[in-house]
Amino acid sequence: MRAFAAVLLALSTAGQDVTPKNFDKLYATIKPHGDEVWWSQIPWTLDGPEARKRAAAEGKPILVWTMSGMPLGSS
Amino acid sequence: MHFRGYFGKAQVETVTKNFVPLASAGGNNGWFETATGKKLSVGIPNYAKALDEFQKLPEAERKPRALEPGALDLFQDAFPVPEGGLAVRTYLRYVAPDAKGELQPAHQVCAAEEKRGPGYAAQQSGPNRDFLYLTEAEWKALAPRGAKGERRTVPEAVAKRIFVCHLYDGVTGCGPFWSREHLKAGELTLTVDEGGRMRLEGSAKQFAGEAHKADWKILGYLHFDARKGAFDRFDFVALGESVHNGKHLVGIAGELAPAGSLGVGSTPYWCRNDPQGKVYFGMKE
Repeated sequence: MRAFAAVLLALSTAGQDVTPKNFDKLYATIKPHGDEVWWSQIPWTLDGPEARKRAAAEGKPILVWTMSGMPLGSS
Repeated sequence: MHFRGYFGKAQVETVTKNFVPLASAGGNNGWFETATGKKLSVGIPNYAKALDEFQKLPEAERKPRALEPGALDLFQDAFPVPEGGLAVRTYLRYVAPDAKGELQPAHQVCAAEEKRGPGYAAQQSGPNRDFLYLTEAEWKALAPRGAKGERRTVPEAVAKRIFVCHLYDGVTGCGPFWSREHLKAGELTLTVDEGGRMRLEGSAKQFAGEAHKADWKILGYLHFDARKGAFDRFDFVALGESVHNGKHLVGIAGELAPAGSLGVGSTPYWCRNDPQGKVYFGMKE
């Protein structure tokens, strides 16, 4: 670990950098905004059995949103 | 990320009111089904057709009822946060400098996704997401111990987990995994400011070949509430020049994800190949 941690890097992010000065703006730029967040207003569950119990109790169909990864995580 | 037109402003109320929304790994796009697992013939986003089809099912399949044992055995995809652990939600997207040199969101295209059909990738909207999980012992070890100016190295298991598992070009969902041997250098430190504030700083370099490599710079601000004995801020940005399917500037932003908040319990991308998290939580060597 000493050798691992001791390596200091020459940073070369295409002349770009994250600094205390641009942190807030860059942070906001990366996070979702505008019409990118509507789906997050839906009360998703990750719990399949719970979804089935609710569907049975409420007489509703289940909408299964599925991707190769987790839709609410990395997809 | 999500797909434009699936869950936009107009669809939120429809979905919330008429369906039980379940997010799960294992396929593409999604479908509708009954409480007992009978699939309807239409897929997302055909909400009206799905409801119409559902209403035409025999009443016994629609009316509220108790489920039989065995009907609940599916969808065990979630990745439990370690007991007492901490979850950090991350967002990943390409960024590029505008005419003023300020970084802005950049168009996201993945060649592999585009092969699924014309415009497929263009429908994708928003940053991709992931979750970083820390055990209780790990996050407690990050808490400030000394006075302003105290500076220490982030414990190896946490630093390597971030470098190997969470600094990657996963913007379009096509990103490859790093292995531990791909990590060529990395440094991550915490410096105590005033009032429980801490500054996270570091860098990392991965190399799997000239066609797959990256350099990162990391800056973050954490806050530890000594009265509650817990972090209430865990914000960071990682900016990386990544080579994979072209050269991209990848921005990753992290934020504290409270228990029960959207998506907490989603499997980290890297753990698709480590479903029990044994390597993920044991990343020292």
